[in-house]
Amino acid sequence: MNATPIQKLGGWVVRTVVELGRFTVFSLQVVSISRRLPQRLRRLMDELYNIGVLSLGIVCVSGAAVGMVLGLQGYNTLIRFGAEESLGAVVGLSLIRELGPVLTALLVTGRAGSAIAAEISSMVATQQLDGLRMMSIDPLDLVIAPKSLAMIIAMPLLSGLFIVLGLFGGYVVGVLLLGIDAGNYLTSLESAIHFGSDVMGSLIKSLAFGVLVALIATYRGFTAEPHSAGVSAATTSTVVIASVSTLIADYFITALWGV
Amino acid sequence: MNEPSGRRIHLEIHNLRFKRGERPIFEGLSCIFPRGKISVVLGASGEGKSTLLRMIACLSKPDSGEIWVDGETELTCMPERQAKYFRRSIGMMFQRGALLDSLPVFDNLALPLREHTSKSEAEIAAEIRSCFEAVGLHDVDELLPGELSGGMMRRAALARALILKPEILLCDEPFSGLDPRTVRLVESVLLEINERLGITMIITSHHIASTLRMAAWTVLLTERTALSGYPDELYKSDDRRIKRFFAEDGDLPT
Repeated sequence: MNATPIQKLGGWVVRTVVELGRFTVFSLQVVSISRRLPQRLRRLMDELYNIGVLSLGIVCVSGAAVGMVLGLQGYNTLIRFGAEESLGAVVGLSLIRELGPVLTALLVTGRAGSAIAAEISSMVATQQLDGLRMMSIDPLDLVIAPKSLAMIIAMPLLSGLFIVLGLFGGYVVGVLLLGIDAGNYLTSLESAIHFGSDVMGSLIKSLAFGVLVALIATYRGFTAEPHSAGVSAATTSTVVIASVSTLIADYFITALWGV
Repeated sequence: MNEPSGRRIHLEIHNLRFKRGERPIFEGLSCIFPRGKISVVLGASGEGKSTLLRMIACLSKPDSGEIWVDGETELTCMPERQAKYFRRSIGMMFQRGALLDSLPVFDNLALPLREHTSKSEAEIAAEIRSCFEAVGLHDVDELLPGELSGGMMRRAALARALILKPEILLCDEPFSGLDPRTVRLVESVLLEINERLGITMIITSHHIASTLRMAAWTVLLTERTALSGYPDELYKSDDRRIKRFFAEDGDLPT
């Protein structure tokens, strides 16, 4: 029987609601099992290395490059209004409030989120998670929770690093290449940034993105079909869903709390 | 056929029904598995041998039916929290090993002991040594599962399945993809373990020759149900389904 468009829409809505329900249950299970994490410190450290330390290169290079481009673009725009001395404020506010947390989340999704999904889904495909269950070891406890928490811890730290490197990149272009006064760059940066609203807001954003990316990557890996096409589908969908969710969440966090 | 009864039965399956999507896998499957013996579950690919093992291990649930252990514990209604503890009494050797590929073989075996016991590292090492000895493995401590040959992988998986001293051992296709010499080797290891430890073993296979050599009880999955009996009884049976299954294997003893 051919389904009508309304039936297809209904089917899609039902599937989406069921999936969201499963995702919520999964997230609550991960949160509840995280109380055992003190016993998993070694695994948490390993995951922090995999997710955080191994992402340092891409985050640092990207941060510096984005800061340099911002410096260049900001200078070209500000000079039209004779306000090039405010370059520090423009680079700082853009990076801290918006670009730092968002671009870091997108970069970490591509590098570590996809790796998490691929690793967990291949464990599903090779029955390693069933093997753990047969030893009365909960895969959520041993595999999923340390990866999730490591991602949540690493994301704000990487975002902070991205911002610092970005500010430095803006400084290099603005001060060293284009000749803006170093004192003006730093003063305008310092006076424009408010710790409470801007820096804390940035931290909250990157924490929220860390939670989103961690849960999406682990959920997609954990619920992957047990074959190689399932691994590839889990990896691809992690990157797509986590990136889009980050951008949508960014809008709502900014709109609702002015962060 | 002459069936074991009473305390001699370890596992009893009643009227199992299960569909995968629209495709029925079991339609009223019933069988028993005797205590302390090697039972081999035979059947063509896709007949649900691995699915049956997963159900006994509480990794999958049937749509309906019952699985009784010792006539006291029913598995299909068991909640996951309880199943988690029940699984400590079951060891499972997966078809492709299912060892954690990021850990060396030694740590794969040590993991359940570190998780569930308060044994010292020296005691854990001694227990792992004796397990390696039981399955005939040497010098594999530091190797990753990916570095093992097919036969070594099966034996490492068997060692891990035995490490928590289970009462029931499930082996999913332990002979598939192995050369005849390694099949004999794995077979002899399984027989020796069964003789020495007296644990109930349920082995899925489509390898009829090895089944006839080692099985004390046979369950044939065919047409979504099960036919069981002693191996020679089953082999000589006039039932057309059994005859057809055995006739399809050209590698039978004459």
